[in-house]
Formats: sequence, structure tokens, C-alpha cells
Amino acid sequence: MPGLHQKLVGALLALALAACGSTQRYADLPEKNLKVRTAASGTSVVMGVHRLDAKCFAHYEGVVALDRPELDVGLPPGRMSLLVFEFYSFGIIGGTRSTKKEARLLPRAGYRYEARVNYKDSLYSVDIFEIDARGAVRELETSRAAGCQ
Amino acid sequence: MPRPHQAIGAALLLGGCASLFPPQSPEEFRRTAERALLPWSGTIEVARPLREVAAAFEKKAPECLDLTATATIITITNYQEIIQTFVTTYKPTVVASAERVELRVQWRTLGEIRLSAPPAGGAYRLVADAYPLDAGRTRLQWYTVTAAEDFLVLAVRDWATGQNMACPDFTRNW
Repeated sequence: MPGLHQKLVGALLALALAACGSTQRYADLPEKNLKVRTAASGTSVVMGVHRLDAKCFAHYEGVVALDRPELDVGLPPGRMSLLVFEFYSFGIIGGTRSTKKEARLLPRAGYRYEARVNYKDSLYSVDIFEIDARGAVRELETSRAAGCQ
Repeated sequence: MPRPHQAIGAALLLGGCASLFPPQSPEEFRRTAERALLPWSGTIEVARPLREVAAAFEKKAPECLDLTATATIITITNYQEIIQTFVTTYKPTVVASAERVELRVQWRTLGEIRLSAPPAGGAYRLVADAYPLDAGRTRLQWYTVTAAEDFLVLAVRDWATGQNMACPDFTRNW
């Protein structure tokens, strides 16, 4: 039975998804290659998944609610994706506010990826790491501009 | 001889006049922040060489501070709802010289009315200076617009120490 806190988070996420303008869920792939670790206080977080084409235009594919500390997602290997992390806050005074952070990712076959999403005291970060088959970890440069010439 | 309340009133008026003329340069901003009744400045020592602090500023400033943020304030009264939207543009600049590295943040809000023109790029919101102390230590000195805890200072201080490279959320604060 979900507790009050979980119910509240669920309600806020539903509002956030509605505020996104789309409640289309991301059609996940069976093979999970991205683990999203989320630690957020005072906010609700969603991750929009987009396909980036050769001209760097984003094509929306759906949204994933980051309502758990860990979540596994399947992204197509060999295809450029744009992940848009959106932090929502709600207040009786001030309404809904959101901050976005984009991360471009080209998953490679045979590699795993980890996104660390944090929000605390009005400071946020999204860091993405690539992990090879031997477990070696490297942080990725994920700015959209870096991949779009 | 002026009475105490007249003296306080005059001081407040003069203080108000000072804010009508925003600092036109980082140096003026530093002086204004230092002269404030409650200091709008602070300093810490960082156990990192200046080049690492500079690299953090160079990386994080364009990533986190070069943006336009929208904040909406809704005031509900007995007979109406007032919605105010503030669109604020922030502009960071990092200036490196032999003796220090400066991070300057300017801001301007769409539609704001000013009696005297702010500098190009907007009024100064924050100036943070990093000075080398020795090969492995740096002194960070900042000047801001408030004596209260400033989320922007917290972020810049964290970048300097390397403890947290998170970006400040300008939709909640400005």
C-alpha cells in the first residue's frame, strides 16, 4: 500500500507529465543499457527521450518518470539520443516551475551507461558515465552543442 | 539638530539613492558590496591550485549561467489572481589574468525600469575573484547583491572547492 509521501510524489509526477504537454510514455526496449540513479529532494523529475537526427533536430519519443532511486531504461545502441531531464517544483504561491538539463548520448553496443541525477537545495546536476565490459567507468561529455556541428 | 528618526530617514534616502545608480564596472560593484551596511561579500580558502579553480569556472559558467530563466509569481487576493512573469537573462564572463581569475555574472530582467542605465550586459549580480595563495591553495573572494545566503554563491563556492559541480536553479531563485 503506497504511503502518503509516495502518493504525493505520484500526484506531482502526474502533474509534471501533464505540464510536459505530453503524457506519452517512452516505449522502452527490452534490453536495458541505461541505469538512472535519482536523488532529488523538493522536486519531481522526469526524463524525456528524443531521437537526434543528422541535423541535430530532436524528435520526441516519450517520457520516463524518475520516481524511484534507480530505474533501468533501454536506449537503441548506435543511435544518437537526447535525454531531457526536467526538474519540477510546485507551490500554491508560484505555480509550477521547471528547469531542464539536456544530455546527448550515443550508446554503444556492449557498453552500459549510468545517469546520476541530483537535485538538492536549488542546485541540480546530471552526470552520465559509460561503463565497459570490464567495468571501467568514464564520464561522458553530453552537451548537445558538442555533437552538433 | 536633527532628531533620530530624521537622521534614519536621511540615511535610508541616501542608501536608496545609491541603488539608483548601479555599479558600472566589476570594481565599482566590489566597492558597493563592501560598503553595504551588512557586507555582501565573503572569502574562503580552497585547497586547490588556481588553475583548477579557473578550469572549473571556465567549464561551469557557460554550462550553468548563460541562460534566460522565467519565474512566475501568482498572488491570489480576495477578488482577483495576479500573475507576474519575470524573464531574466544571465550573462557570465570569466576573465583570467596573471594575478587572479574573475567570474562575473550580470543579469537583466525584461521590462525592468531603471532610472540610470545599467552596464552593457546587465547589472552585476555576482563577482567572484580567485587569487593564488601558493602552488596548491587558492583564496576565493566573492561580492554579491545580498547579505543573506545566496544560492549563486553556494554554487560558485562548490565549483571552486570541487565538492559539487551542480548548477543553480534560477527558476526558484533570482
